[in-house]
Amino acid sequence: MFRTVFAVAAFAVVTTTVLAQADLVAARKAVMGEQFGKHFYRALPDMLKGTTPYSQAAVDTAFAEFAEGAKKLPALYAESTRNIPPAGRFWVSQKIWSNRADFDAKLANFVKAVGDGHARSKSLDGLKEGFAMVDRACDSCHENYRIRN
Amino acid sequence: MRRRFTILLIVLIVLGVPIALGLTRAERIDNAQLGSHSPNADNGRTLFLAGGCASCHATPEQDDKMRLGGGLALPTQFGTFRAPNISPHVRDGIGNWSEAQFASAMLKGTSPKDEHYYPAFPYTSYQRMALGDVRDLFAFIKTLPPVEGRAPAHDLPFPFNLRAGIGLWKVRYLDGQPFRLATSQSAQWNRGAYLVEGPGHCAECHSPRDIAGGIVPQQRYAGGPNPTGEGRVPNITQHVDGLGDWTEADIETLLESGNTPSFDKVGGEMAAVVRNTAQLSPEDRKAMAHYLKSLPAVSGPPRN
Repeated sequence: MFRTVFAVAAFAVVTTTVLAQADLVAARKAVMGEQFGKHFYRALPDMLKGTTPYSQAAVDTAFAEFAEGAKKLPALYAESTRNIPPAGRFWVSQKIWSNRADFDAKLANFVKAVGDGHARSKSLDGLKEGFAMVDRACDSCHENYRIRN
Repeated sequence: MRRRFTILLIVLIVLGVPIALGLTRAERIDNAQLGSHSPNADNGRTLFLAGGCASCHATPEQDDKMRLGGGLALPTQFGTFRAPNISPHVRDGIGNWSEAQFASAMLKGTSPKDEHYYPAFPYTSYQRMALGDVRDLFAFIKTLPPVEGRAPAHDLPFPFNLRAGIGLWKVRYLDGQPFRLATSQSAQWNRGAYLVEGPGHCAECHSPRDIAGGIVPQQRYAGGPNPTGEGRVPNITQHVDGLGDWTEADIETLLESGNTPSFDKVGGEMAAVVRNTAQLSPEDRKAMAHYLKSLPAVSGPPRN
């Protein structure tokens, strides 16, 4: 009886851990891909290139998504996520946790860059600057804390 | 019998080591070998960007990539290398070097003290550069600000701290060949080949290496473990795992902005490379993309 309870409990722990890990990876992809990437790599560049007309509404949506996604980032890279085995083409560097102060500073800087970038992006010319500000903030983490598998 | 064998072995070592080291003494370029040349610092700047000098030699933790005070640490399986000061500071940098000494460093991997440089400095690629280009690069570096302070020495365990051993390494891995124009290819292809194989030194990161730290020639450009950091460096041949699905325009876009066709952006050390290639002329980026697109498909080492 005790062994059965133990076995079931162990199974539940393992399953929830695996599911939690899968959830985490999906959550990270949702922020980076959907909330950030969709605007950053399609909607905004298309306007900058002149492929689509400038739309302040679309710009405002994009920056709102950037701001919202940015709030989710600290939890997605919490200490508890440190030892999850790599999944996918890109993964986190352990330096996130060994240089935590720097990583947190860069996250904070990203939030600021999104705010400042949005304030700048009130016209096509303004968007060029605003976009570049966000671009540099993305780079500051990706260059140092994302590794390719 | 055993005594004679032991004596013979000792004699072989006592004679053999100096002979081997003597045969593999560092080669250099002498002043007499340099003809007349009007240095072109603009061309030198192009080579400085293509060569990525600042990515290793710029003083870390600051934004001015023209301050080449050195000090960046490169951790490898042989120990930690530290890039030296190559600013034109006369005491702490290369300000009092001659052109011949700079050429010896770039093309032969030899220091002004006639010592071998460690191939963490990628002279295995830079050896393909034209002498005139090397002299122009030197002229450009001389226009940059002198930066005080020598970088710390390398931190290498025995036996890698024995510089003389690099002479043997060079026998195997440094062919001393200049860039050869492929007459059957276009000028654009040749320019791209020169930039990629020479100053660009792309293969130095994008190829797997053997146990001695030399590039595996059959898998050149096929990617592998990152030699200086975590993770892996991608295959950039036309293999489906590499750039097989990319157009030339895609490659050009990457060299200009770091953006990839899968709506992402390159990071890690490649971000620093892109900051340099973004400053090259569009023609040079096109040429590099044209050459890279022509690389036959090669399968890289398996992921572990």
